[in-house]
Parts: sequence; structure tokens; C-alpha cells
Amino acid sequence: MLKKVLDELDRIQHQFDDELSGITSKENLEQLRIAYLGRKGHVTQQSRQMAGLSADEKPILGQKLNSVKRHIQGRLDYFRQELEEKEAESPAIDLTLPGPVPNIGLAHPLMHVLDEIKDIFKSFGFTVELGAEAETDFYNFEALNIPPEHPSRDLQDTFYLPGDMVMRTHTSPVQIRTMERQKPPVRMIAPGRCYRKDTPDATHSPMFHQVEGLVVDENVSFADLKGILLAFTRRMFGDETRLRFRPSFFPFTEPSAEVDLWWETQKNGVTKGAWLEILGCGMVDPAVFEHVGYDTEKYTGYAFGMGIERIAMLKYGIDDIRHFYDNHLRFIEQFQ
Amino acid sequence: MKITLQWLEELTGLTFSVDELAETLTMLGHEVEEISSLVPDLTGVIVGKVLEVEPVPKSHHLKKCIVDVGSERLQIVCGADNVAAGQHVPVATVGTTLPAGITIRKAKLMGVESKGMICSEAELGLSSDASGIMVLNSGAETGMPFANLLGEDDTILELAITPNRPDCFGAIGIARDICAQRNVAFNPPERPHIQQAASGKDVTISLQDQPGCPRYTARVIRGVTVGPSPEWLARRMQALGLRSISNIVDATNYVMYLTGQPLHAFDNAKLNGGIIVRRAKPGEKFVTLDEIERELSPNNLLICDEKQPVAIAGVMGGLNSEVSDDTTEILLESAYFDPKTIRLSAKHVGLSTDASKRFERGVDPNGVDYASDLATHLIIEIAGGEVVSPLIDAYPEPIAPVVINFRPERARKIAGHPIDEKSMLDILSRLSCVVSQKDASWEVTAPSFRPDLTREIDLIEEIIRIFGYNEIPVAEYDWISLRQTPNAFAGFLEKLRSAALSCGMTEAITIGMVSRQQASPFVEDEAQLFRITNPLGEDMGTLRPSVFASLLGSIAYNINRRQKQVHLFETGSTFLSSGPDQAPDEKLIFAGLFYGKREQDSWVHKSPDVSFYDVKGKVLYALKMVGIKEVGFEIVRLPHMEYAVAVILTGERRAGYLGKLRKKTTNLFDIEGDVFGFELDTRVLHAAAADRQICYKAVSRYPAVERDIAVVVSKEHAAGDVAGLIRETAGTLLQNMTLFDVYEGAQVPEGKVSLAFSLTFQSDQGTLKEEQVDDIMASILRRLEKEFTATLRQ
Repeated sequence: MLKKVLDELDRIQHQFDDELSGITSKENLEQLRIAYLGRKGHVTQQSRQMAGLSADEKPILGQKLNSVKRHIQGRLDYFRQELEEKEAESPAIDLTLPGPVPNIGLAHPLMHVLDEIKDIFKSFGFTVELGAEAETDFYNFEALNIPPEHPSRDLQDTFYLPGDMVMRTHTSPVQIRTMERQKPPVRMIAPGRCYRKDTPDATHSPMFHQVEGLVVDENVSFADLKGILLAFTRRMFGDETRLRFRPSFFPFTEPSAEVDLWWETQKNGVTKGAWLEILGCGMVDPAVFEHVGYDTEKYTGYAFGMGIERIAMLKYGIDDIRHFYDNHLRFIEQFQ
Repeated sequence: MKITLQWLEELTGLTFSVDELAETLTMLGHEVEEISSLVPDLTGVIVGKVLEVEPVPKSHHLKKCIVDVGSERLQIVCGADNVAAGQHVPVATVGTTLPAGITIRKAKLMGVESKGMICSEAELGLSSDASGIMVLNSGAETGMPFANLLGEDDTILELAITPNRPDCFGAIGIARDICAQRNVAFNPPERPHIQQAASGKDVTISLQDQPGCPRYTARVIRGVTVGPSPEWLARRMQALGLRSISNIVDATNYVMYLTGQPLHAFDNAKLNGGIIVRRAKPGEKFVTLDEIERELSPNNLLICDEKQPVAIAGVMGGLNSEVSDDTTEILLESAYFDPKTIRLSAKHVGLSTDASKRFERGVDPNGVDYASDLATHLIIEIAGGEVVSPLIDAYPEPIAPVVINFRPERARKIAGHPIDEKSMLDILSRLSCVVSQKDASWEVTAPSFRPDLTREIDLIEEIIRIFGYNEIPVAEYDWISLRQTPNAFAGFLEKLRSAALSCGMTEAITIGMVSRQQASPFVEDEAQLFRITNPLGEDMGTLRPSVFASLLGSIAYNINRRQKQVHLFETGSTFLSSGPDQAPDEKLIFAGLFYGKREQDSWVHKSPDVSFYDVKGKVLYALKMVGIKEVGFEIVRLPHMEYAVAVILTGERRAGYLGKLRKKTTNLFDIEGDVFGFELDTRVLHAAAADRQICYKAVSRYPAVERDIAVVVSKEHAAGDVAGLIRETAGTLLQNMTLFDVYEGAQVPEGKVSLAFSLTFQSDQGTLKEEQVDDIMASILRRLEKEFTATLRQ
């Protein structure tokens, strides 16, 4: 008799374990609990067999009943906790919905490039100087050793304004005004808008941006100029940057050079390289120093200039300069 | 300036590969812009002989030709009128790609098979002649490659000659530079010996404008036969991109491209007496070689005979004295004109010729006779004739070569590299400078063909250039800058830009040249507009009086591309006239324009449209971020704004305005919806920001008390005035005040508005008592009742 009851309880425990593994909700779990441990549950029913047992046998069944109940309760508790944790993991809101876009302004790609250039030169100890866009003929040309009716005026097609003024064709007037104000040493850059009478096309715009630099001190040499430009371009384009200095002519520098950058592009797995013109530079012509009253024997200096649009187009692979001035939001947002 | 590889090889005695030559020229400062071949690639084009020609049925102009091309006979359909049996012709065989990019394929034309094409000169890329097929000399062997008939190939290099190097507008100058760089001796073509035959006419030269024409030479050659140039010369003309005109004209052009000295040949029979060089009279008329009558001014220097002008000096000859097929006697001019004179003269007549380009940069005053000799020699060689006058040379005041003091030490200092004196001496000598060495300072005589060498720095440049820019090592830097003071305004602009970006405005850059129509809405009077003297076009003829005048274009551009929220700012210059011939009033303006939604729509929130208050909030917050905390507003009327308030900073500084643009203004840019905007003068903002001193004030340790008050007032009262009264009455204990609700409608009587403020009181002396705050609130209400007949909203 006892054995039969004990065997039945073993069977009930196995049956419980089987049924428990199929449970997925707290409701089902509660039904399962009632089915085994409830007033009419399988285990409870077996406890009624106690009455028909001898005094020796009763404690044995009692122990067995306790062990089965503990087992079932323990498994139920464990399972309930697991179900609750699972529920907590799938929260009440849909986390896949998008977050609204905050109201943030986007910086213009040209200004990104300009910022980068300014940061590099500031770290080299240069100051940033600014000036007006409508300039006198004197500051834009004559003080830069470009006398009236000189063929070098042909190098830049100019917008003329009433009152012997021009839209500045470069930011060089800022250098002249800074030198007039300040004794050497001068280490400055002048970023800003410039104007030349070019019909707009993919590579020309009547308005564009330049950064020009100027260093004047005792013992400044062409080797120093090469040094600063190599340091700058390596910060801007990477440590592997290679430069080529090529003789050229600017009225305000002598010797003058165009600087080419070795630029590699990958297409269909083939690397192609070419020298690309990126900067103009040179040693400041003594005639410029004479205009601002610097001692040409004591001081020497160098100057350089670059177009921001050209650098931005190179850096980002932009094919048409006019994109910069349309200010299409879909264009600007690509550079953030 | 074009030059050919063969020509440079002839002149230097060196041999080059194309790449090597291009590299050498580029590194000398003569940038190679284009490299091309004299002979186009005509592989696949062979000589054929037309055997039969018969019309294609039902076609007006097509003909079926049988052409013998040596190895086979081809049937070719040809449309040219001039095709005939017996002709030798260039045939492009099937598979050939012609210079224009056409590839020849088997074809059927009007049902007739055609295998190849008989070509015109234009199709072969030889000339622009497309009038008919090219007919070859009957000696041409059928089946031979057509390219064999075109003679030897040559490489043409197009160089960008910088304006300081007039000598390099002649092949000799370029050859000399190459030899200097290669460290080999350069020998320019020898001066030919000119034999003068029995004396002829004596030509008188009268220089009435000696400053404009310091030197004029003339030589008369009699008995010339004008005709086509010999093949070598015609080919060189083609290589230089010049049209071969006649042996005489080609010879003068050839010598110009060789020496850089322009020459002009007059038909001497058409000249009346001697040469006079003088200025043109105002309004004087003259017909140039191109058959255009030009009105002259005293800016033009003229070459005249005793009766009339015969050339605009240094620019272009006259039709009246042009060399023609009948010419038998020429007067050859070789002269030195003042560069500035020629520049003004060419500009006045709107011409830029091969001659004027050279004269205005400065030819060699002492090479005038050499060029004349070379040209005379060449003319006699190819056109016959004899010289019947000596070289008549009017050169009253010979131009002395420039002597320059040069210090090798200075050159080393500028270079930043110890170039030795022997190298410097070699370089200068190879560039034809004469050096008399004198210890620390040398005396250097510059050659007369180098007008760019007048100062020590010019010689230093030559030394570094020939030594090689890339041979100068890069300097190591070790300086740090403690002496530089940063520009405060530039720094302020950077802060302002960051503030604008963080207030949700996107940065724009527009071109500030606009049309008068775009500019005029922004000024009271069009006289305030500032115009460009020589604009690109009328649509870009005015400098913007307001950033809006160009920035609105970018708003429209985005609207047209279906952008629903366009908030742009730009920091750029505006220009207003300050009177005739005065410098413009230029201001650097920080401006913003706002169109469409306040935010991007999302599933969380459907955004309302941007409003005046959004712009006001953004401006206020951006100014706060750059250190401007005290900002006042005052209603203003502006021509382009439907409504606006002036933005007033400390010290009564008026920085600009913000408000809503008039429909009439935005419609001009094809914008339909509302546009709000602001314009602020950056200099004024900077001055106000610079005023501010940041001074720490301890945050009170005592608890704050919050009270709300809602009052109903007539709509005639501005909310700003109500707020001002509350602030004034609340006194120093008021820490913060926010207007949190503005309500009209049910429960508020018609014509009135309910304003609800939240007030925070706090003392830094102790905990505020309820009664203290109650008293303040009561007096606020009393004053509101009294001064605005306000009632407390229940």
C-alpha cells in the first residue's frame, strides 16, 4: 500500500516537471499550482491516503509528501520569477520608434575647412586678422607692388567700384593694414571672401574664400616658408603629404612659388596620382615692406595664400563650386 | 606661348623626352598647360586611288566609288561633290577612329554597301576645311599609311609664361633657361651677315614721341616675291597655332616666336615717304588689318608715313599698307615701344595681339636690330629680293643695361641655405648676367632682355630658381609665439557662429552681388544702393544692402526642393552708398532667415510653423551665449519688414532688428509663405559683449518661494509693459519671472487678454516669510489694477 502511494507521488512529481516545462504565462503557472497543490490537487489527494497507513508508515509518507511539495513549490517559485523577469525585459513602449530630430544648426562645409585651417595656424602661433571686402585700389594693388597699368593686373580680373575702390581680389590688403598697425614680428593669417570677375562655372565663382598668411621677422627664409607649409599640409592632409615647390610669379613676393600637392585617387582598385596646385607663396618683396615702412635690411618675411573652395572640393570630392553657394540643406548636412 | 620639342632641341643642342622637357620647364617656372602632337593619330588611314565613281540610285548626292587601296579594292559610298575617278585620296579603313572621335564601320547607305570613308581635311583633323574630300598629289603610293605624307611629328607644348618674363615669349629665352638649369653653354642663333646691294631709297625716321618709342629701325628689301611659305615654315606656323599667310608674314612671325621681338612688314610701295612715330589725335580714325575702322585717342601711338597713319604702333598694322600678293618691296619694322604706352593703346582699341602682348611686357631694346637681321636674312632666303638700305636705326638715347649690387650673403639669408658663391656665379653667368666680383658685394650687369632684373632680390630669385626650389631643405621650426595678441573681434565672430549653430540655425554663404530689383526693397531710396562699375551682368550689378537680398535666394532654393524647415544664418558684408565716389558704408552683418516649421515634424510632435517669437527667442539666446545679456526691443518701421523691433543693447547701442518680412519682398524671390528674420551688426554686438564683466554672485542658500499671478488686461497694453511693472514692483527679491500663459477667448471678455506670470522670490539674507511675499504680491496687484485697470483672473 505504502509503496503504491510513494510510487504514485514519484509519478506525480515527474508529471509536474513535464507539464511545467510547457508553461509560458503566470496564469498557466497558477493553474498548474492549483492542479497539484490546491485543495483538490494531485498531491493533496495523495495525502488522504495517510489514513489507511500504519503508524510506522505514516512518517515515511509524511516525509515524502513534504519532499514532493517542496520540490513543486520550489520549481513554481523559480519559474514565476523567471516569467516576471521576462516580462520586465519586454517593456511597455515600442523602443523601435524614432526619436524626433532636435533643432540643431548645420555648419557650412567651407567653414569646416576654414576652421581646420585656422586651428592649425593658431596652434603655430598665428593670429587671425580681418578686413573689409570693398578696398581701395592702393591697398589691393599698389601697396602690393602692382602699379596701375602693369600687366600683372591681368592676372586677376577685378570688380571696380566708384571712388577708386575695388572688391578685394585677395585678402592681401589685410596684411598691409596689419603691417601698418604693427611692428614685426608679424605672424598672421587673413581669411575671408574675395571677388574676381569670373563667369560662374564648375570651377569658377565671382566670390570665393581665401586664407592668406604672413610672417615677418628677422632671419625669415625660404627654407622657413617650406617648413611651415609642409607642417601645415601634413596636419591638413596627413603625415605622408608630399609637396613640390615650383617657380612662379606674384608681384608681391620674390622669389615666388606655386605649391603642388601629390594627390592620389583610387578608382576600380587602381591608384592614380598627380601633382595638384594648392597654394601660392613666396618671400615678401622688399617693395611691399617699403610701403609699410619696415626696414628691408633688418626684416625678411614670407607670405602664402590658398583658396578654401579648392581645398574643400579636393577634401570632400565636390565637383562643382556652385554647390557651396546654393546652401541646399541636403548638401550641407552631408558634412557634419 | 607655344613651343615645340624639336625647336628647343635645335636651339639647345640637347635631346629630351617629352616628360623630361615638361618637367624641366615646369620646374623653371614655365608651367606646361598642354602637350599635343603636331600630327594627329591617323593609324588606319591609307592612300587610295579612286577607280570608278557612279551615282547611287535614288540619291541626290551619294556616289558609289571603287577605291584601290593596294591590297584590295573597296566599295565606298561618298557624299562629296569633288570625288572623281583617278584621284588619290585618304581612305579611313573599317575600324579606324578619326581625331574627331568617329569610328569607321561597315555600313549600308541607300542599300549600297560601304567599307570605309574617303576623308576631308577637317575629318582628318588637319584643318577646318570640310568643303570636300582631300585630294592628294598623284605621286602618293596606294596602300601606304597616309600619316607618312604628313612629315615628321613634333610635340607642341603650351606654356603659361608669367608676366615678368617677356624674354620667354621667344624660343631663345626658353632655351636659355633650359641650358642654365642643365648647366650647359647656350649659343643663340648667330647674327646673319646682311649684304647691302646697291643703295636705294633712304628712309627717314622721325620720333615725335620718343618716350613712347625709344627705338625704331627700318630696312627696305626690294624684289621680293610674295607666295606660300616653304613647307618647314608652314608646318612650324601650324605647330605654333598660327595661320600660314605668306612667306613674308610668316617670316616675321617666325622671328617673333624665336626672339620675342615683334616685327612688321609694310608694303613699301604703299608708303608715302619716311616714317613718323606720333600720338593719335582725339577721334582720329584708322582701319586696321582686320578691316575694322577704329576710333583712336592720344592713348594710341601711331606709325605714320608723311601722309597718313599706317599702323597702330605695337598693336596692329593698317589695311592701307598691308603686304599683298603684288608686293615687291617691303619696309621691315623692328622697334622698341614703351610697355605702358602699348598697354594703354591696346586697351583703348580693345585688342590683344601677339605683338601687343610682347611689347607691353617689355621686349629687348638692344635686340631690335638682331631680330631685324634674322628676319631680313630669312625673307631673302625664302622670298628673294635684296637689301637696298642699311638698317636705319633711330635710337637717340640708348637704354643702358642695369647694374645691380648683389651680396651673396643676402641670397643665403633669403634662401635659408648656404649656396656657395661658385654656384651663384655660374647661375648668373648662364643667365647672361655679367658679374664683376668685388668681395662681399658683386656688381652684376643684367642683360637688356631681362627687364625683370633690376634689384638684388630679383637676382636672388634667379639664383634660388635655377638652384632649384626643391633643393632647399625644409627648415625645422622651434619658435613659440608669446608676442602675438589674438584679434578679439575674429574670436568674437567664432563664438557668435557657434551660438547661431547651437540655436538651430544652419550656416549659409551667399554671393553678395545682386540685381537692382533684388536690392531695392531693402532701402528707402535707390540712391543708397552701391553699384559695381563693371559687373558681370545686370543681375549681379549691385552690392547687397542687406544680407536678405541674397540669402532669400537660398531660402527659395530650399523651398523649391521641398524642404519644410529652412532656418539659415549668414555672417557677411552689406554695402550702402555714402555719396557719389565715396567708399561704401560696409558692415559685417550677422543675419538669419526662418521659413516653415519650427521643428521637424515627427510622430511625437506635429510642429507648428516658426513664428516671430521663435526668432526673438533664438536671437536673445544666441546673444546670451556670446555674453550679451541685457537686450531691449523697440518697435521700428522698415521698408522691407511687415513688422519689426529694433534690438537695443547697453549704452543705447542699436544692433539691428528682427521681425517679419513683407509679402511684397518675399514674393520677389518667389516665396509664398511667411519669412521671419534678423540682421545684427557684428561690430555693435562685439562692443556690447566686450563691455560685460563676468562677476560671480553666490547662489542663495535659502529656500525660494514661487507664486503665480494671472491678470486680465486690455489688449491695448503690451505684455512687455505689464511684465516691466511687475518686475519693478517686485524689487530685488524677484529672482526669476516667466510669462507662462497668454490667453484670449471664453471666460476672458472681448478685447482683453489674460497674462499669467510665474514669479520666484528668494533672499540671500534669510528664509522669506509667507507674509513678506504676500505683501509684495498685493502691491503688484494694486499697481496693475491702478495703471492697467487689470483684474485678477479667477
